[in-house]
Amino acid sequence: MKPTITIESSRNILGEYLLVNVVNGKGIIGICDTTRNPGTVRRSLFVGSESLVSISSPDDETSNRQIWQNSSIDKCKNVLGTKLKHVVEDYFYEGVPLAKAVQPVLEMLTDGLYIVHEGTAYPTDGAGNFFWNAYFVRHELNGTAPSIPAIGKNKVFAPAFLVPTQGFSMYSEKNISVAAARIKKGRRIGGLAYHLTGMFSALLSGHTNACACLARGEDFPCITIEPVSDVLYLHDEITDKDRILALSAPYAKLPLEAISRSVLENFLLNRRVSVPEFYPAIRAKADKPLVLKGGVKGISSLISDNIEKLPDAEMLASAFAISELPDEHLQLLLAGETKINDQVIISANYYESIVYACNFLQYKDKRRFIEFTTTILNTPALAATYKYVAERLRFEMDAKINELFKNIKESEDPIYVPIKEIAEKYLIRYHEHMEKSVNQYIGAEPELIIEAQPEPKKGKAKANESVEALARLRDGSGAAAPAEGEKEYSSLELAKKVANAPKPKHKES
Amino acid sequence: MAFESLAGERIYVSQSAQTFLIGDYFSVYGLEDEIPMIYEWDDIKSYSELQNGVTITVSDGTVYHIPRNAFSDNLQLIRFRAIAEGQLSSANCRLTQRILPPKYNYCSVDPPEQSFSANCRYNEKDINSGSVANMHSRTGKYIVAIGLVIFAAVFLILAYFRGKLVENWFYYLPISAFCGIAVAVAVYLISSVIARLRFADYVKHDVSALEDTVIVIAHAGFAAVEQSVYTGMELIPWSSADYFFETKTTIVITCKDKSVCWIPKRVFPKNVQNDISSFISSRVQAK
Repeated sequence: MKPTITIESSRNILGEYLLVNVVNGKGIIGICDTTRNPGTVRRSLFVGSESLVSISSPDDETSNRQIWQNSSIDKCKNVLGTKLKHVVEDYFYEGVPLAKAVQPVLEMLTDGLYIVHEGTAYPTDGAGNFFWNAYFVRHELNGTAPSIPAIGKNKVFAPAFLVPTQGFSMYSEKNISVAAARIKKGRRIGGLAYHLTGMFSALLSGHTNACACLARGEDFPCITIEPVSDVLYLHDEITDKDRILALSAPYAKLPLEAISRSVLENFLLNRRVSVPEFYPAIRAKADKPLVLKGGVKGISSLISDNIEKLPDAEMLASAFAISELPDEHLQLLLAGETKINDQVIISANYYESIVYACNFLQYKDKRRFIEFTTTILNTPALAATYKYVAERLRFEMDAKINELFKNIKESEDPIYVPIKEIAEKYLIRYHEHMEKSVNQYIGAEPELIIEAQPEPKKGKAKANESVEALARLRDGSGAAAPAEGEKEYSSLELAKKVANAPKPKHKES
Repeated sequence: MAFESLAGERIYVSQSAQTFLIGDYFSVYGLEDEIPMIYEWDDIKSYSELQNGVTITVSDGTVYHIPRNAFSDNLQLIRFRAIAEGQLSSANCRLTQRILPPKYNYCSVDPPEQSFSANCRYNEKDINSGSVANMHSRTGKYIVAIGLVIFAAVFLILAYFRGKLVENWFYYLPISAFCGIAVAVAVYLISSVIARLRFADYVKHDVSALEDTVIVIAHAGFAAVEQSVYTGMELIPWSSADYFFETKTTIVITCKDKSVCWIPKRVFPKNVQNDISSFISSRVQAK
């Protein structure tokens, strides 16, 4: 039977989204249960007969999950063709409306309800590691629980961290340069992802685009398809009891009264566990991890530098958990209060409140984050939070933080002993960062371009591709290297630039 | 849990104007309800399937009744049973006597790679043989005890009323033995007739008797499931089996909750019938 897709457009505080009802879907893309051991639930994202990514966990809503790659989506070309690529190009480049652009993919899904939305995705594992080579080994990840305690069940959030479905052998800096050049020309590029669990989605298409955006330090826009598979208990005023009154997906909570009866019946009659056509093969493949072919590749320093700037799972969870945090609330928190007018500001637990506030501000408002954390680090009563706060400050390159850590390093106060090492490392990093900034300012730092990129070499030479490409980016062949006769970086130049730079101000507490 | 991948079922009860939807949740639309009552299976306090239909009581005390005639056909009832019983446990199920083991006994496992499997439809001979053997496995020791008691009683009565035990014991003994054996045989025959009559009851009330059944005997467990709901992954683990016994035509495995699984030998080729018996005996105690 032909797939029947009905789409309704809607909007909530996170933005616009599509509510999609799939009936008679082809069942090519979906998640199935591949559990082997009792007591541990294993689910696998499948495409055709391939198990791409598996998720394992105890059967508990609030425990973090283990995620690992099984196979590469390149093996599914026979069933997917170029449909995924076209969805991404149609939507991001051709400007086709989202509902029309994703239609071919929606037809390939298993029956059920889905939320489709576009938003910024972060190509990391939620702990500051580059996504593409972070899932070879099965390991537990923060922010993967279906119900994230910091956010709670009733709040909406965008599952922004990405899990690759393509093998890392497809990582090519030549292709990244090409994609980066497209961005430079003003073309919009992006990706397509399928929600797995918690804040994590599997990137089905757009791996190279994600790298290009990351290399250029730009946001990576991504279409995410989220299956609606959960329900939400709300208080029913008529019966004065909690009962199921909404359907739940991370991006949207759908009150039952807002859903048409046919759509709701489709949700209720479809099962969470689907048995795809090639179930035994998928189950067998889910037992095997993805094997990295060829030598271990490095990634571009542009990517590794920018990855540190992306939010981590804790930061994102706090950002979605707190709707607003005015200065008045921050002052109360610093004064040791957790309530305002008998209302809990963030959490009844004081230290939890400080942690969430730090994360929220770091994600939403860097200036206030630096002010808040500086005040914390100058308040001896909050010494228990010093290590956590210092860890959060580690990757923020700012003159005020540099000054603060300088003072901490020089301080003989014993309360700073646990964070002195962090402060010392920060000062070194900050110095390196300044050097790089000056280099960029004087034009010695590379920039991604696509000109004169040689074809990638096959066989043994392929292992060196990454290093060579990196070198190209750094020197002249592919990057905006200094032209002949142009000034190279010199320590004297740096000294001059630094001397002329405005003196960093430090807020004394 | 088992049978989690079966598509949900929608049942409309005209008498109460209620629509029941069962899948991952148990949901009910009332006559004028804009939104349904949706319950998780954990909220189901009791589930009973009797001859007149299915009655479900939820934790808030609400009782829902789905009469037998609300199901469009046998297949829908079988699917409904499989979904509901697959989500529940034996503790909150009350069921009429069935030919096939209730679905709460099953769990989802890997599709068995090496197994004995066959399709069949139960006939009177299979069920009678199994049913009689099952009855006798339960009542056998009582029949023997009754025989011995009658033997002793007749012997004592003769000795008391006729006297001269030392001279006449040679006559008393066979008479007593004959009476004991006769009563035991009579009880045996009556129980056999009762066991046979139960087949008619099964056919009358259990829709599974009219459907093709898949029989599976594998390393991880065994199954006797209606073909229409079997997904290839449901088995009753051997740990749930209590004991088995074998008749000329049937192998019967009994479970700890007293449900039984009949395995007609005729559905397997003659050359593997002995293998199946020895395979089962290696996993569960014979009686």
